[in-house]
Amino acid sequence: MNQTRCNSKSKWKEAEEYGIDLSIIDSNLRMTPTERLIAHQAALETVSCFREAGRAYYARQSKTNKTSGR
Amino acid sequence: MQDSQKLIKLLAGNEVRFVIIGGLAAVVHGSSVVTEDLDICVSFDRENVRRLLDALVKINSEHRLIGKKRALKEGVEEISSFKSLYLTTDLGFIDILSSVAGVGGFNEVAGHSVELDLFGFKCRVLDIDAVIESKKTMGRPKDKETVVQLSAIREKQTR
Repeated sequence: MNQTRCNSKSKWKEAEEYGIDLSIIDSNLRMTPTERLIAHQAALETVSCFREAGRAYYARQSKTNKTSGR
Repeated sequence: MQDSQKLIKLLAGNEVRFVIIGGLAAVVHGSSVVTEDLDICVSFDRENVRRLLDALVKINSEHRLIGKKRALKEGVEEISSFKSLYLTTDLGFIDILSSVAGVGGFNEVAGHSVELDLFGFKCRVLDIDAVIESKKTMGRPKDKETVVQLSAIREKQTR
């Protein structure tokens, strides 16, 4: 019974309820596969930049804490 | 820095028979989940392994899951007997598998793939149904979002 109910529910609706930003999916679907991979690479590079900035920040914090004896 | 675009070009340029699987296959089908490695399924026959090794030696490939990192020094014969290779390279991480959970060995994976023009090369990518099936079979929490996204995309495609 539950299975039937679950299957009848729209997957698009399920994704929305799961918290997926469907506008991003729609945007992806308007691109070619190559454009999707290029956009993914750009996203990955952005993540990498933020990660590096975070590393630098925590390294500075650690140095400051050591200097101040915390 | 991961550069899957250059990795794909290198493999395709060396005429390696491979199918893009995993997170990047999901991206090709429209997923927004960012992944940090390239997963491919290859035939581990000697000729294909020779082409694969020719490509991998150019980018300083090292085993990354065997304790301390170790250069990929095995020859064609030895690699042909492997079921998988998990490497770190100058162009980032690459996981090379002989089979995909829920799909099968290379021939089955190739049979469930689509051919696409990527970066000037004809490349094979696991089809959307097989990506969903493989991620469901693995059942890892991190794959749940990809399954939800691809299922929604699949539904939209069939409407």
